[in-house]
Amino acid sequence: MRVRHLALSWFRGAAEMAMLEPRGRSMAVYGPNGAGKSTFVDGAEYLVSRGKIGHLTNEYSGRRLEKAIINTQIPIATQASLELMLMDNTAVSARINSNGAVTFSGGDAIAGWQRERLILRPDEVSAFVQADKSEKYSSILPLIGLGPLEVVATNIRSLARRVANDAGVQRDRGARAELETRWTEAGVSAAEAGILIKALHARYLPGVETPSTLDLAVAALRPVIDARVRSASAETKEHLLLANARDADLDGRLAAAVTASEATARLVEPLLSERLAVLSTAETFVHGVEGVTSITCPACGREVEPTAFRTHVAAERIRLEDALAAFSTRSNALNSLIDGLQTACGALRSDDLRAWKASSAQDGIRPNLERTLALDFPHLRLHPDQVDLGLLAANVPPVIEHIRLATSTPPPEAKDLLAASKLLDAAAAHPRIRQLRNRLTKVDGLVAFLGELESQVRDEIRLRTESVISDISVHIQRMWNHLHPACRVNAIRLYQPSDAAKAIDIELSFYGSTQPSPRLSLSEGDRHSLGLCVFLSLAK
Amino acid sequence: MDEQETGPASWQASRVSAAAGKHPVLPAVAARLTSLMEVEMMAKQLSSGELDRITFELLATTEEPSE
Repeated sequence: MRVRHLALSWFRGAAEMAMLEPRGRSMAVYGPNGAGKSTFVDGAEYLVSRGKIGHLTNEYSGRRLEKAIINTQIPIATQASLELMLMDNTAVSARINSNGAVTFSGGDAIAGWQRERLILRPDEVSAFVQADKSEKYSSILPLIGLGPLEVVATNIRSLARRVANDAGVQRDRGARAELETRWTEAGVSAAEAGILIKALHARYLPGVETPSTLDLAVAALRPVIDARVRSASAETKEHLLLANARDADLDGRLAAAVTASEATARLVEPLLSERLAVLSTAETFVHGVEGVTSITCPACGREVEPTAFRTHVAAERIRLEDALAAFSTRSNALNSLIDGLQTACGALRSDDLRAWKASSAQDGIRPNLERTLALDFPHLRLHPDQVDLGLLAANVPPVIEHIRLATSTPPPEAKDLLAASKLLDAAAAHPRIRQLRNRLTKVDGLVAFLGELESQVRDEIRLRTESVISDISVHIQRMWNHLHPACRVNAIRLYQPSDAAKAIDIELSFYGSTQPSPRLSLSEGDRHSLGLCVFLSLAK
Repeated sequence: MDEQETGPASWQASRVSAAAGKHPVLPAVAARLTSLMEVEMMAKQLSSGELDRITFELLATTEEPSE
C-alpha cells in the first residue's frame, strides 16, 4: 500500500502543519541539516511502532518520549498530531498530550507493517555492511519474509534437545545401564543367556523338563539356588556375602558421582531454574518491544539488539537446559551410588558375617567399615544431594580393596553358586532391559528424526534465501552502477557462505579481485553507499 | 519484498516426509510435527511450557503397550 500523505503538527521539527505528499509515488527529500527531513521518518516510525522511536529511547526523553517528540515551541493547550493517509484514503493518526500520552485512531490501515521493513537509518546501513555474516543473516532473513521459517528451525532444535534431555528418558537410560551391569558382572553376553540358563536348569533340576521361556526357567531355578545358599557351609555363605559387596561396583559408582558433582560444582540448580523461568517471561515481553535500541538480557545481563533478542533467548535457554542436564546426570550418578552402597551394606550387615567382622584380620579397616555401615539409607533416598562424597571416598575404597583380597580364593561351591546367582539376576533383568532398550531406541530415533527435520527446514530456508538474494543481487548491482559508474568495485552480490549454516555476506570484485566480504576493502563512504543499495533493493 | 508464501500443500509436509524417509517415525508423529510446523512453530518461539507439553506428547508415542 502506498502513501498519499504524511501530516505532522508540533511533532519533532514540525511546528504548525507540515505535510509530505508523495501521492502514491516514490519520493526523495533533500535539504540542509536541521531542515526537518528526518522528522517525517520519525513520524512514520512513531505511527508504525505505536508510540516508539528507537533512536529517541534514552534516559533523557521521558517515559513516553514526551521530552523528545513534542516540539519545544508548542503553544499551551495544544496537542501534537500526526496523520498517515494511504492511497485508498484509509488513515492512521495520533494525538499526543503534553505528558506524552497518545491516542491512536485507524490503526488497521497499517496493521502488519513492520518497523524493520519500513525505516532505515544511516547508522543501521553502515552497521549492516560492517556486520559479520551471521549478523547479516539475522538482519536480512526477517526482511525477506523468512523469519517464521527460522523460528520453525529454532523450535525444532529446542524440541529435539528437550526430548533428549527429558527427565524420564534420562531415568530410563540410567535404569538400563544399571541392569546391564548385571550382565557384565555375570560375565556373559545377553545372547548366551538362553544356553547358559538351560545348562543351569539341567544341572540343578535334573530330570525336570526345561521351561519354554527364559523367564519361566529363571522362576524355576531361583528357589533352588536360594535353598542351596541357605544350606551352604559358613565359609561359603561368608564368601557369597562378601562377593556381593565386592561386586556392587562401588569404585565405579563413586568415581562417576565425584565426576558428575565436580561438573556441576559451580552451578546452582535453583538459579538455573529461575533463569529459565525469567527467559520464558522474557519471550512474552519481547513481543511487546518495538523501537528500542537494545535490551538487557534478564538471564545473562548482556546488551542485545531487539531483533537478535529472540535468537539470544533461544541460545540462552539451550545453554541453561544443558546445565540442567548436567544436574540430571549427577542425580542419576548419586542414586546409582546409593543403590550400590545399599546392596553392599545389606550384604555386610548380615548376621552370617558377624564372625568375619569381629575377626582381628579386619582391624585395619574397622573404622572405615563402621563409618560405611552407619549410612542412613532411608534419609539418603530422600536427600541424595546430602551424600557425603568425601566421607565415602575416604572409607569405601579401603573396605572394598580388603574384601577383594579376602575373596580372591573362593571355595568351589561358592564359586558355582555365585556364578549361578549372578546369571539368574542378569536373566531376570532381561525383559526390563529389552523394554527399556526398545523405548530408548524409539526416543533416539525421534531425536534423530527431529535433527534431520531441522536440517530439512534449514535446506528450505537456504533454497528460498538463495532464490530471493539472487533477485536482490541484480538490483544491488544495478543501483551500484547508477551511483558509481565505472567503479573499481563491481560484481556485487549477496551470497550464502558454504562454511556456515546461518550466514549471508556480500561478495564483490575489487580491482578485479573477488572478495568474500565488503569489510576487507571498501572505504567508509562506499560501505554506506553499498548498504543503501542493499536495503533499497530489499524494499523493491 | 512480499512475505514468502508457504502454500496450502505445505512445504512442511514434504520436509517432514523427507526427514521420516531417513529416520522413520510413526505416522502420527509425522502428522503432528507437520501440523506444529504449519501453525504453532511458525508463529513464535515456543515457550518452555509448550516445549514440555509437546515433548510429553511425542514421548508418549514411544511407550511400550502394557504387558
